[in-house]
Amino acid sequence: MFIQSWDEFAKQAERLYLNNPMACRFCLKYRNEKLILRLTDNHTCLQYKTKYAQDLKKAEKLMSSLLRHMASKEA
Amino acid sequence: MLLENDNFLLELTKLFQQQRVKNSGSLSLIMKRYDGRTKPKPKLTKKQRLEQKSSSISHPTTHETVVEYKCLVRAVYGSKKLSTIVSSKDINRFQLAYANLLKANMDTLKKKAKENKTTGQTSTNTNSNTPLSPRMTTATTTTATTIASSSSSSASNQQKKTPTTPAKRK
Repeated sequence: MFIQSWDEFAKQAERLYLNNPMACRFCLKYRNEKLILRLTDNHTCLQYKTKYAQDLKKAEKLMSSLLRHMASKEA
Repeated sequence: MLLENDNFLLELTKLFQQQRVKNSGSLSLIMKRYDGRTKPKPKLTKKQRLEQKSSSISHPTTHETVVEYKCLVRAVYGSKKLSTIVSSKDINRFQLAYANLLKANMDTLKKKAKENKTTGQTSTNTNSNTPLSPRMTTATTTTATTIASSSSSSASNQQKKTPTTPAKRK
């Protein structure tokens, strides 16, 4: 259920989001010294779990790029 | 509660502090693309559907309208719910502030435990990833250059390369 490698998660997340940007949502849950990331388009769901601060930086980057793409102007 | 961007960030810091104090409960942050509609999209009647079909067949639709999307950001902690809408002109400011906020507040995550790799011990997966990749790339680039050169020399070069790579790994 959880994707083990960050690169896999990032790659699949990009693909899933670009496929249908209106339907995808990116969720981040922080509890008990664990971080859970989830990107879903209501058909498929990609999840990543971590307890390391290093992964937070990578998640940060992914979130920023998604945020920029979501709020961008489309022609 | 729908707030302005700055208010949302302030309230979010408060939520993080509350979580730290209580040391229980989960804080969820959600991001989604938003196109600004406030009413649900009505389903078309049969007549409208037929009209739409015929019009699309007669003249193909050309997308000339520029749609400006926004981003909806929600935060939930226990029963407290916050939300904000970020449009493209505020995105730079919001993104910086948001990133800083997350980095500053999610500090109970552990640091990766590094194992010593002086005497050729097996390091952890994550640590071995980074040292391996530059090595791998250099190996592939050197083999690529040898393949580009003449075949006879490439064979001898490759023979030369293979003994060095295990030596490097040590």
